Amino acid sequence: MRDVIIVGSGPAGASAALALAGRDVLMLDAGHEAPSIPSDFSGNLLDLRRESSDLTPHLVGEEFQSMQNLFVSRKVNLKLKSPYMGYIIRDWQNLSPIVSDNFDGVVSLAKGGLANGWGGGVYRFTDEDLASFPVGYSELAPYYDLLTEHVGVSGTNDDLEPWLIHDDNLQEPHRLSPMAQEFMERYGARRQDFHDEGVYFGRARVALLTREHRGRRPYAYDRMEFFRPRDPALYTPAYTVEELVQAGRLEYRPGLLVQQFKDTADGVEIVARPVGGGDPIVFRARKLLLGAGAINTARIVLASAEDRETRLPLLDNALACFPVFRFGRLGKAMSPEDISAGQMMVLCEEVEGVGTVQGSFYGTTGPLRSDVLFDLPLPAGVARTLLKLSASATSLIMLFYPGVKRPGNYLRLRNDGALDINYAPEVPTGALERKLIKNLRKVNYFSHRALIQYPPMGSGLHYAGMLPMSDNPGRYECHPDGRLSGAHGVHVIDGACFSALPSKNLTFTIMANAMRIAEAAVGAS
Amino acid sequence: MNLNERNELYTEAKYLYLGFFNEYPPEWLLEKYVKVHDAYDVSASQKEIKTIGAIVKRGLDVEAVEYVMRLRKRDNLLTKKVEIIHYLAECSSRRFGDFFLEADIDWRAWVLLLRSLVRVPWCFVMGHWLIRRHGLA
Repeated sequence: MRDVIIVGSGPAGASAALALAGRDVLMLDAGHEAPSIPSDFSGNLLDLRRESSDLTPHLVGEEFQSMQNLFVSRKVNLKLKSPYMGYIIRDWQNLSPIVSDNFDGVVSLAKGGLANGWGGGVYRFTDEDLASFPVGYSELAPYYDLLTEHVGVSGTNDDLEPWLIHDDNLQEPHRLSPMAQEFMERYGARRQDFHDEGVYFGRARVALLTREHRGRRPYAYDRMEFFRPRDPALYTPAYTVEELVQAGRLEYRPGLLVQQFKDTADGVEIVARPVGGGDPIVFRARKLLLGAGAINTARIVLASAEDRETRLPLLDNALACFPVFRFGRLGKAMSPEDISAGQMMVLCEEVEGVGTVQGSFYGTTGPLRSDVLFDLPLPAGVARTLLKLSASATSLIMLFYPGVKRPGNYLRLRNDGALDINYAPEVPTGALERKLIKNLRKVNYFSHRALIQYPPMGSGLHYAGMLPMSDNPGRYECHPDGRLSGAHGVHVIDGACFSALPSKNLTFTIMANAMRIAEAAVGAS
Repeated sequence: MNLNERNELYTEAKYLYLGFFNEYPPEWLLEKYVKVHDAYDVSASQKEIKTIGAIVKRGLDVEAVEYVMRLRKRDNLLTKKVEIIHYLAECSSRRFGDFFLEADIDWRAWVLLLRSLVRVPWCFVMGHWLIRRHGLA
């Protein structure tokens, strides 16, 4: 019998393993690996595009994977469909299916999870964000500090400090694009006007290195984020897992999909199926830490209870996106800093009926032009010209609204093992977007309400709340230490145990909370 | 896919590429255009297939026709095929200048953009007229 079995190698599983490093810990994981990248696909992507006669194998794929959205009704996230990034969501529909008419959810079975394709945003939850949780900031703070050092976070303490919390251990932020740089200067000159409207801008805090850190090199501004996984500068939990394995502080068993557990006073029996097929394998541990990703953790819990009836709650962030133009930059060629990573953050206070809403300012140079060209209501040649001339003059604002608990939003296990998910569309009123557009005009940055898009629910990839922590947990809820109510040795460590889903990116808090729960469950390593 | 179908796809790809980039495509692009049709189910109604054939045979303004078809129905066969051409073209250094600026062009960008935008009403009117005139899908 093992001391601890951790399910999953994403942000939760990797962080729990870090907290318990050196203990008797076995990690079970489906663990799809990133493909090896041909040596001729390296360097700056813009230079490669200028010089290579045929980049199809790398940008579109030998099997034309990047074109898949032309032929499916449910579109794949632009960052997850390119040939070398596709492993992040490989096989999920076969191995962990979801059935839904109104939820574009996706699951990762890769080593490192969905965080292999993330934007890297790492934000501490304040006591206000944690208001519905049975834990406060002071309990998570030591773990946030540990993770900041472990992961390597770049950013700064600026106007957003009241919401992001002061941090002395940040690397300097990455260089801004000329458009973002100019925006920050203009915002700085009219700061109070924005603040009077409850709108604040600042630098994003990102798990993107600007200096060498723990053997990983800093970001090279090579614009490969959408096409090449495992950039050493951008943290993925896979690095933590590999580091621990190499140091002999974690045993890692990939190729296994945990199906269910049986929890008794003597320990937990875990049943896993080999991903490639074959007979189930049984493992035993004193403690089981479930970090398979919120959706799969919920699946495992329901399957273990053989419950095909109960509807578990589900939280997701409604999204709003719109482009922003700086007409004065039309006709500028792209600079090295025109990257797709998060440039800045925007925070909007006290949005009516919603609370605080946070968003990110992204560059638009990541995806293929052909991914967006035909969505513009223009002839293709005109659209191509517009995108070419405005590449360095366009950014994208993406707002995340807090998740709202509604009885009609649920997840249920079907007889065939798929998850039935219903999530009624939550389309924001548009008031905040219009307010932001109005404020941006003060500094000559333009957009229009006609350009606002509301992506389908599920597409933000932030899922939480199926097995929420509570001081007095009922069935399918967790104690403050993550222990599943009614269970002896089963703890939920991923977003499934979140009591609420604020607007703020939840990944860093998943990681800190997983460390906290792991130590509470097992004791510090 | 039989030889006739492959040859038709080659002809189609040449025409569609020419319509947007004013030159014939490289051989590798033609091959890959055919391979995409092997990799994915690019099936459609007979009417849509005949429409593509008519556009190619009669040398119609593909940008105009595709534009109007897309406005009517985003997910139509002609748009898919034109998108395939663009995905492949974007991967070629020969087309770099069609998708990216090599250097700052400042005020000249406005001239280019305005000149380009004139094509919008032209494509709209011409596209509608061609579709009606030739009985396209």
